[in-house]
Amino acid sequence: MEWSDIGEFIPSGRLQVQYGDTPVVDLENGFLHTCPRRELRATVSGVPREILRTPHPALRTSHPDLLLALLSHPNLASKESIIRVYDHEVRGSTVAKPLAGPHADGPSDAAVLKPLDIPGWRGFTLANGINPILSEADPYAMAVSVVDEAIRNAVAVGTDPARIAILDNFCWGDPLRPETLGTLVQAAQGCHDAALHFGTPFISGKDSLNNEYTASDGQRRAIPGTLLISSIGIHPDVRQAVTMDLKNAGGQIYLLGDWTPALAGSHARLLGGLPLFEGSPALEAVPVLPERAPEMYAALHKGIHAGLIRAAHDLSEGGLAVAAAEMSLAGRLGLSLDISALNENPAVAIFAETNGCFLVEVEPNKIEAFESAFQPLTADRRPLYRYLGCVIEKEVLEITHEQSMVINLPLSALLAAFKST
Amino acid sequence: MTPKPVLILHAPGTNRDGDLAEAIRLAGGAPNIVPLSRLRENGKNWRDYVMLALPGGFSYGDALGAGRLWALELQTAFEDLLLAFVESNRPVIGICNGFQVLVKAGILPGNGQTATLTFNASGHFECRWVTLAPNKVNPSPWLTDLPPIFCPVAHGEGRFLMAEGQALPTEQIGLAYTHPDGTTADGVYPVNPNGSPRDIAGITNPAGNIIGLMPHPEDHIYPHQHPNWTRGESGGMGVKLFENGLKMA
Repeated sequence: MEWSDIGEFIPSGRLQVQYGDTPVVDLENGFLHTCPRRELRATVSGVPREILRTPHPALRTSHPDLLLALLSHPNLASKESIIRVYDHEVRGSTVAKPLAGPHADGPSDAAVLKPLDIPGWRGFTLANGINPILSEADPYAMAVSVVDEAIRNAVAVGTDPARIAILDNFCWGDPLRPETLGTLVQAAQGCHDAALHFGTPFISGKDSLNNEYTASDGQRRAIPGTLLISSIGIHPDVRQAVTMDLKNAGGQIYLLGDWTPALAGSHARLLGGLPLFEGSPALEAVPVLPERAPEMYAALHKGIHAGLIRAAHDLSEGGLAVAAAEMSLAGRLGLSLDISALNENPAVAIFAETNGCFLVEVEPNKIEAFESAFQPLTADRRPLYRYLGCVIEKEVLEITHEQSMVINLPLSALLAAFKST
Repeated sequence: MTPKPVLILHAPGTNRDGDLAEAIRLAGGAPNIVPLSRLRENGKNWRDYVMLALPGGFSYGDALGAGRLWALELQTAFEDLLLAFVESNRPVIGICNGFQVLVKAGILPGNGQTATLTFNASGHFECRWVTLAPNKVNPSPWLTDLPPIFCPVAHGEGRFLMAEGQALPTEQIGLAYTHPDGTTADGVYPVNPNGSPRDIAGITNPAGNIIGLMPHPEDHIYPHQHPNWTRGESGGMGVKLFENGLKMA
């Protein structure tokens, strides 16, 4: 690499630049880095703005229909066509790739990298969290959720939750509009609270403001507030890297974490699932900061590095059914799950969104070790895990609720929907 | 035994020099990555090196076509050094951008014919893993006892074409894209990721000391780089190719 020596740091408190012998800049640091602060007004709305949206034209009354609609929505569908136009193999460091499974088409939670010139098995991981749909309903909940998402995606592949740092990347509208600044303030508060809760530092970030457009009615509008949280973390031993594709028929499937159903700002609601959730209190709930997540992520991390976890995937947009479908199609293996214990409404059980949760595959001979690793660490004896079912050879996703089959879809249908865009 | 010194050229924009150096190191060589600007300054004698390697990347930002400016630089500033090395029958390997350079500098196919590497048939960059079968009728020592290689491609201009009316002699085909089970790709995408006729992934010169290929065997030299390593799979690493090269040195 070509380089040139252009100067040195001196304790003068000034920035001084010369061209040959001619001074061209001589400024005081204080002047350079202090500037007048603007006072702006922010208005925070108490009503979830999603309620003001027009309802989805195609209301859905079938669980399989909604699942396939979710899988084919651009936010959830396969990003393979974008991933493959970038070089993710350069420098020979990519251990866990962006696309998982025997056909390299499953959506990985994070990339695990082991630089060639670093001896030993330590590596690092890169992951992300983003959810502009939720932003429309509640910017604070959105911020908290995407911080959790960037962290849990990293933890799912074996990153040490105590060694993660994050960036915030804001794409927002015009901060001079009080309502828009209000949503930005709420999102910033969410970032603050989540970072402190997880003990995960923000080390940098960036913003792009004034993203606005003029609609056909002549009104100027802001884009949905969009916050991307990127995470970098230390992976203590890449030999224990875990990917999200189901590995073996017979594997036992558990739901890990405090599953707290929320449908406000959810993709299921966005895609017309309202009739399926009629009367559920989850309709007014947004995903919350998962209180026990730090201790649960630490336990998952220990479990991964003890070799107890064969596959792991976080619950995210679209809820449990989408997570299960993704693991299944990635591994080209079926699932037989019973979600009766989660909620009396099967649609809520499979489509509600939540923070702080994973689906994991555990080998039958590791069950005892796994369950004792996840005994609750607090005085509160709520279980950190729930047994849901198992991996099956037959290439079908079967989800039952109180003896009735709520989802019974062949992998081919899941794949077709996932790859349709 | 002292590892033999290998010269790895580096142009502005080259990015797979580190990967190639590691593969050469594992194969028993001593890699030396030297920027072209340094080679220009001190006129280092390439005879000190037993092997010449041109790595992948985006030299000169692919301006005027991938590899074209680097090829021009070799043909002008380094013409004598390059020709002397080529004619000495010592091993030369060009990978991806390096292959593009050797073709555009007229070093490959090296039989009087004209070839090029142009835009992928899919119309976009491809980053995916492929299976390569060495050509059993090519006598080049680069390919001696070489098993199939499973490794990534990462290129936008990987389609190997001969000038109109010309066909590359079969014994100069080095490696071809195949299905994982070894059957020929027959142009099927994405088994053949770029639409090269005859599924050509790499070629050699008639003397067999020079090989150029689009895929990156240097990116599968450790088991943990295998895409299904977490599923317990392994196999198809590319180190043997570099060992063969060093045996010729």
